[in-house]
Amino acid sequence: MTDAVLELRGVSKTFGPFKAVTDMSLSVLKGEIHALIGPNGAGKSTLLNMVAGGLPPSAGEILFAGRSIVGLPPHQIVHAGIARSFQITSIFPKLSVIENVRIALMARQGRCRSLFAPAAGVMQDDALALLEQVHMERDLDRPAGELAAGDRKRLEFAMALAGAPELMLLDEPTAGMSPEERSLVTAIIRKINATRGVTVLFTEHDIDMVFSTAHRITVMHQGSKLTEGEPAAVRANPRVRELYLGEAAHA
Amino acid sequence: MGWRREAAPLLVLLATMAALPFLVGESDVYLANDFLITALFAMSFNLLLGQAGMLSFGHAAFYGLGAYTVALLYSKLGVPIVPGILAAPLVAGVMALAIGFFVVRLEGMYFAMLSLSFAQLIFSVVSSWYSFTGGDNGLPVSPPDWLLPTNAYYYFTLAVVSVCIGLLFLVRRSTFGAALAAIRENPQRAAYLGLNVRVYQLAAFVLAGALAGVAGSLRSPLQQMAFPSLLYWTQSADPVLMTLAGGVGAFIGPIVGAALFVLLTFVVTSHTDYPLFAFGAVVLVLVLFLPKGIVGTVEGWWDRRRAKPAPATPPQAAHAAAQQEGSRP
Ligand SMILES: Nc1ncnc2c1ncn2[C@@H]1O[C@H](COP(=O)(O)OP(=O)(O)O)[C@@H](O)[C@H]1O
Ligand SMILES: [Mg+2]
Repeated sequence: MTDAVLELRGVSKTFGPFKAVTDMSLSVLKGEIHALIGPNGAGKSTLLNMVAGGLPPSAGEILFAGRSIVGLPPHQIVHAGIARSFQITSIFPKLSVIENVRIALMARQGRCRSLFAPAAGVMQDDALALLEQVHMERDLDRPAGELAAGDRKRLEFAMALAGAPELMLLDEPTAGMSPEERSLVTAIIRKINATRGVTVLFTEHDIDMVFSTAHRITVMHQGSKLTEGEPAAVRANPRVRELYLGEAAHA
Repeated sequence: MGWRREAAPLLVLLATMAALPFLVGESDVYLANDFLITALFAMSFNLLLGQAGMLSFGHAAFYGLGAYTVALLYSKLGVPIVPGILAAPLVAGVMALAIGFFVVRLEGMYFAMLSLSFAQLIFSVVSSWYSFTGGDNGLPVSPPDWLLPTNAYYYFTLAVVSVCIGLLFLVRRSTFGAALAAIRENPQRAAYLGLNVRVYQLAAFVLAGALAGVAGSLRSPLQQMAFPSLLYWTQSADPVLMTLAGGVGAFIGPIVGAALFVLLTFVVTSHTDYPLFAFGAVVLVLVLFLPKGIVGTVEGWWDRRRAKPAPATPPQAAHAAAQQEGSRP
């Protein structure tokens, strides 16, 4: 439980003159649920995007399981064992729910390369199991684009779960969900973490969810790390109260 | 179940085309041969547009390369047309690999424009290199005696085209086809699920190019001539228009579009010099009023008719219908 599965060292990202992330260092330990919080525009999504290979860091090093992943394209990072979901839900709207999950499984297992082997039914059982986990087994054949926002978010979560990732990067996984859906997703995050040892790095605005789910929390503000620690310590930090929790309390 | 709905019209069409020489005269068989080749050209194009979401404006390059492969092998080396037709997909495929290496790096309109530029480049080489390609004069091809009769060459074409379309049918339903559909729907999500998007797009580009090469290789023996116009940009516009007319999302859409195109061109050529203009106008009207194309509209109408009495047996019927819907690229 002590070695870092994901390690960021001095990572920065600039967009022209604008510094979105500045000299961030962060260790996500193997098997932990790590929350990344901070006000809007703090740089959380940018940070996750750099880890997932979507954005090259302007400076710094990103290590996954001790190996640098800077410069690897997203698909290689996926095959290294890092899955992600997006803040703005990203699914295949015209494919059915089950097909969304099946393609996720097939892609992860490198089973998309045959020109002639029929795709119908491939990995159907695994896809069903994943959809049952997120309680979506009723919507299997609906086009994913027709689903309500919370359902789409759960579907994307199931797609991220496909292929048993070692590390999940979840960008606001419960945004736009009803309280019931929220507790369902939170429960699944806890469960896969507890039973399969999946490491989770997630961002979230729902403070109650963050403090009840995360083992450790990193607080970002204007692209830099404000503090990092266990929930109780973070909650007690006066600057956090002032800059972040205070804001949230007003909102 | 979706595959049966898509296979049935293909088999009906195959049977009809096989019976055709017994029903119509020689000039109509020639026209039907034209249709078969045009249909394969359009179908190979729709592997890109319909399945992978890649709008190429340079598909004629591979069609023309196929035609010239047969003609050049025949006139320079005396190679008969059948080995030439076997070589055509290799030549067109290798060229598609070389061009695809660059064009799949771009998206949308930039992809379309770069594919057009490459095609025009090949066109200008072919049309101006008189000593090698005969330039504007074209290059003659002569089928062997056994393929000279109109019906003989027609059945030969029917066999080759059927095999190629059968291949496309399998590819569409394959795991590779599923990956292309995912990339078409959301390339970003596909990449973050572990698909190497550019490699899949390149593979589709090569396969489509090779099959366009087959279509082209059947074309020059039919006309007994390879002309540079087979590579010209207006030739690249043809499969775009045929596919839009028939329906991008339907497997047999481009076939129906090709039939319409060949018939219309035949009728219109006797009255005007601008058959493409006439077809363009027809496609414009079709796209305005039937945005899903002819086949897409008929399929939608068919599905709605069948869906109506469904409520009594919801789970299975809905399941099948949704699966058909979903497995469409
Ligand atoms: N591609 C981009 N180009 C320019 N600025 C960007 C880009 N992406 C993010 N930003 C800016 O970087 C800052 C951090 O954004 P983001 O990482 O999305 O914050 P968070 O997820 O914490 O709300 C914001 O001010 C945002 O406007
Ligand atoms: Mg964000």
